[in-house]
Amino acid sequence: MGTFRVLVIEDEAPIRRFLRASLESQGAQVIEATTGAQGLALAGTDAPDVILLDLGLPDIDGIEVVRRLRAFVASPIIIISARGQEADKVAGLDAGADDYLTKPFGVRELLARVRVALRHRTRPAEAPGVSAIDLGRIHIDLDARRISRDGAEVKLTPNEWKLLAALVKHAGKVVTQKQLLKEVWGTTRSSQEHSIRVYMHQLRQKLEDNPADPRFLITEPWVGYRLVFDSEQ
Amino acid sequence: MSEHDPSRPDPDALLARISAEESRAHRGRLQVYLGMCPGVGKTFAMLESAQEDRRAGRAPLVGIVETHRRAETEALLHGLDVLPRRTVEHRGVTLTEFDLDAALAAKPPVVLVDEFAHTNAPGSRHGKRWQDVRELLNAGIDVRTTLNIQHVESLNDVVAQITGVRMRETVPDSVLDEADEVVLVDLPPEELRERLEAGKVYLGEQAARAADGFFRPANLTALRELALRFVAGRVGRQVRFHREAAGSAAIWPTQERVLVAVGPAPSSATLVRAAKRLAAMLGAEWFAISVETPRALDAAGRERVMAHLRLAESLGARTATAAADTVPEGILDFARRENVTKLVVGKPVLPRWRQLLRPSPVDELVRNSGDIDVYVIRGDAEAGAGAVPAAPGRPIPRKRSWMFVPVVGVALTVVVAKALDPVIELPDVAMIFVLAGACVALLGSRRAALLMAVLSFFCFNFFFVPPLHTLYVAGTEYLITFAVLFLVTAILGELTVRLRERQLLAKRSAERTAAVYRLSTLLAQRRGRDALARAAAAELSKDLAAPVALSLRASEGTPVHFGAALGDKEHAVVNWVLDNRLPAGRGTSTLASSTMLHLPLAGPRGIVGVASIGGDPLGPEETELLHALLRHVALVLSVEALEEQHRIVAREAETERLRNSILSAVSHDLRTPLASILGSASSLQEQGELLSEVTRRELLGTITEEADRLNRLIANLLEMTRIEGGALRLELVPLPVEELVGTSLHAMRRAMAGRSVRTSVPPSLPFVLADELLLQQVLVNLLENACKHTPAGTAIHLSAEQAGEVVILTVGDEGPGLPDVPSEQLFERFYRGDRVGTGVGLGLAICKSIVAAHGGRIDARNRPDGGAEFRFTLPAASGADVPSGEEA
Repeated sequence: MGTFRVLVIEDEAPIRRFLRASLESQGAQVIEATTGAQGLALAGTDAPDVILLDLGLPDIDGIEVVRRLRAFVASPIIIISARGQEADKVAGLDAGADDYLTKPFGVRELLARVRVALRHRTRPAEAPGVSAIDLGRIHIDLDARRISRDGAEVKLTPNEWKLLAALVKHAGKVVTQKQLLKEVWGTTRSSQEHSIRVYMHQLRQKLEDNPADPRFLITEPWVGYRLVFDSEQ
Repeated sequence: MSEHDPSRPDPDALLARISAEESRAHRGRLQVYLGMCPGVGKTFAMLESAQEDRRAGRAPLVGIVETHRRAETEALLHGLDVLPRRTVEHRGVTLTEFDLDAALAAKPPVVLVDEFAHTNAPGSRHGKRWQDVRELLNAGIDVRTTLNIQHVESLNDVVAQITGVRMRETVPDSVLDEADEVVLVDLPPEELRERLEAGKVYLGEQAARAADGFFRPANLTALRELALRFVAGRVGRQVRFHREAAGSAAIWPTQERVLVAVGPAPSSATLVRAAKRLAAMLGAEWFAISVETPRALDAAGRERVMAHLRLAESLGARTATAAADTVPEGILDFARRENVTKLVVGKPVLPRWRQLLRPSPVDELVRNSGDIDVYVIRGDAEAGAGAVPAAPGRPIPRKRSWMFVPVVGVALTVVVAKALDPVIELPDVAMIFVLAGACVALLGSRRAALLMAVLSFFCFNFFFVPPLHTLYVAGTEYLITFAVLFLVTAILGELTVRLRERQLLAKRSAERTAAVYRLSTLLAQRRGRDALARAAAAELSKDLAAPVALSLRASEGTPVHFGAALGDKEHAVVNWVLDNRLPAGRGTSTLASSTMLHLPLAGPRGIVGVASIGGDPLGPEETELLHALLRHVALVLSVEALEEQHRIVAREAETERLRNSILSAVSHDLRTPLASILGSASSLQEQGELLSEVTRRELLGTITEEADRLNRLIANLLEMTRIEGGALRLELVPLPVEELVGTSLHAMRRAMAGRSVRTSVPPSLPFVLADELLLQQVLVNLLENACKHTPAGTAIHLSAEQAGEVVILTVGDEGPGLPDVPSEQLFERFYRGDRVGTGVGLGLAICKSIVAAHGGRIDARNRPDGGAEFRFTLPAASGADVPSGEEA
């Protein structure tokens, strides 16, 4: 991953210690902040490549920190929260965070998220990026609007295409239902959320070997979807 | 009672005393300065003691004191706080009254309220000042007040006899009985006369008019004796009270019980007061009854009977209504049942000739009373003055004069008989008269039948018996005819009347019984306080044809209302009734301007609520019905409240039991993985270099596995508390089954590493209506359960299939199978299977709760080819719930 700078905003010392140890082993330079205010200040002065933000900070509400960070920082933000706070995760993601980790998490998950974040940082979503991606036996060519499985072409409906394309664009990152609705249908009407499930169901049937134990099209309950393409994940 | 052992205190009496003492503990103390007549210095004495208290630093508040501008009395007000008076405009006159609300708001420890017997100006909350005082006492405020002996209700008649002046302002004895202290303010009659002559005594207007007669030395001596005896009697009772409490046998008095029978006659009020005096003298318990006989009373009469019973109640009697064929029978039945020793009845006031015709009830009583003493008291001559005014009932519709039918009947008979006279004999004419008499008698009026008999007698004689047109009777042979004619008509009339009265009584009683029965069957079908109260209010309102509201005491303070709507003012009255446990509103002496009658619903364990009845004022029969129904409603509601309390206690006990088992289970199951983690970590820390690479990896693996386990355990505990706390809210959305299965397998992928998972989810399966997160929890728990109870490396099966309206999900394994216990037991909280230390047994219980919340069912069984399987159902989402996708 090369050298990169990670800002850790977290009030629990043991978690900070674990994050520092894991990230430094990957060549990261770790900056620590224990409060939201300190985190905001360091984000401005130290120009981190990735920000890890705990949602339960003592001074400022985590989602508010995301909002304020997004006002002046473009770096990816990964929020950290506990199970049972799904609504907070969604709010954080919709406020501009890029991904999330649920406590407790292992180092593998942590590094995978950071890796994805760094990749998206070096290739911003807005810029024209990859036009083709390989998911094991599946090859997706976005420019040509072609998809093949073991060399045989797979036919997708226009909506399935748009959905898949949106997931590919954010490959590795979680995408909330709201983001998908906006990017695919240009709407934020939540009544359409059920449609996403239907198209995801159809995509899995067409692309996954075992749709009941998917490898690529992963559902994050209550939050959204993630296209996993990294073999490490 | 009859088997009462005189050496032991009566347990009922002891209980009553204890509860009275308990209620007194929260009540204020009542101190009464009692005098024999105006001018003895009661107010002066009260103020003197107030000044003493002031000097001791405990100055009482002066609620209201009449100084009558006497300088020496006014001087005693110096230094005391005086409550401003409330002004009341009444018919252009400005009156000043004691301000009860201001006194309640000020909440002083002690308040002085002069003239206990005072009648408040119209429009005040209470009719009488003693009611104000009672409210102050209920609010925990001590009250000192003054009273003249002639204002004591039970002495009212005696005082009237002594002085010739009847007092209209009286205080019920039951209120005085509750006084904690009575201070006698005594002055020898000669000194009083001197003060009177010196103009030192202010006379009330009424007394001033009668001053000459009133303050005669003989009167004063008699009144003084009355006052002294009253106080002495009270002291005597108190001594007995304390000795009884101590169980002292030596002075245990004979158990006297006094019974007074009341009727509609105004003299009954005098009887009641006499009985009260007798009972007080003997220290006896006393009763007042009215006997209901087939001879029906008119509405006004019944209302007067009720008023007499109410009077007796206010004087401390227990009251009852007995039903019997005759009055003496009813009285003696009741007397024997209640072990009455002394009976008080009124002297008959019938004219002498009627007594000769028929023995008076008193004679019958005396004859049959056995060992009961009978006191016959003269009915008050000036009945009007002592009478208790009856509350106005509904006006009785005016009927046509009762004479109409007999007069017309006789006239017609004469005409018909005259027409037939040429062809029939005289005895046949008599028969026609008998027939006519019988017809009139059947109409059911005693007076009409009697008049008919008399008229027939004369007309027959006058028009038909020779010599005609005279009342002279020639032959003796007609005497028998006359007698038969008269008697048959009279007897038939009497029998018909009795029959009708009996029918009426039976009908009324049947109606009452039917109404109570209807209410009780209706309420028996209801569960829960609110449903009961709503049904009761509706039924009462139907039976009484008037709007009825029930207000029930609620734990949160403000009462809950059911039935008819209540106005702001009525709400206030309801609250007053709840606090004071006394009837109020229309037709009572408290807050009488209210448009509804508000009655407390008293159950065995205190007041449960208030019934408010609107519409027209109720007649006596409706009032009786109302009371019968309300007794039932109060009982049902009390039982319901008791049951509710039991339910709460049981629920709390269950929660407590659950908490205890959670604590012990959790402390065990949290410690086990923690021990593994701590052990492994400390091994690595202390001896890391000495361990082989393989061992180190194993220890690290243990740490992560056990930490994962802890994490899932905590998730289950959180879920359990949410389910137990009733905070489980489902977010039901149509979900593809394979997504549910996929996320669960994803969450368990680390714990299930090394196992093969066989899934079978047909693509054609309908979506299910489910909560994503909760369902994931169910599947994770079932998968974890399978891992826990099967050897590592064995396969796990996960399949889904449609069965009609539901989708069945199955998690199976290839392990040793289920223990031999009923399937439901597996899903009980804290069931752990055979092995120890494999989880708190929360997992399956949570699965059951969640599945049940989705409207599904879960069960477990052994697979035919070995291993266990858990199956649960989920409702399939209908086509309408699932947006259709597009075809490729």
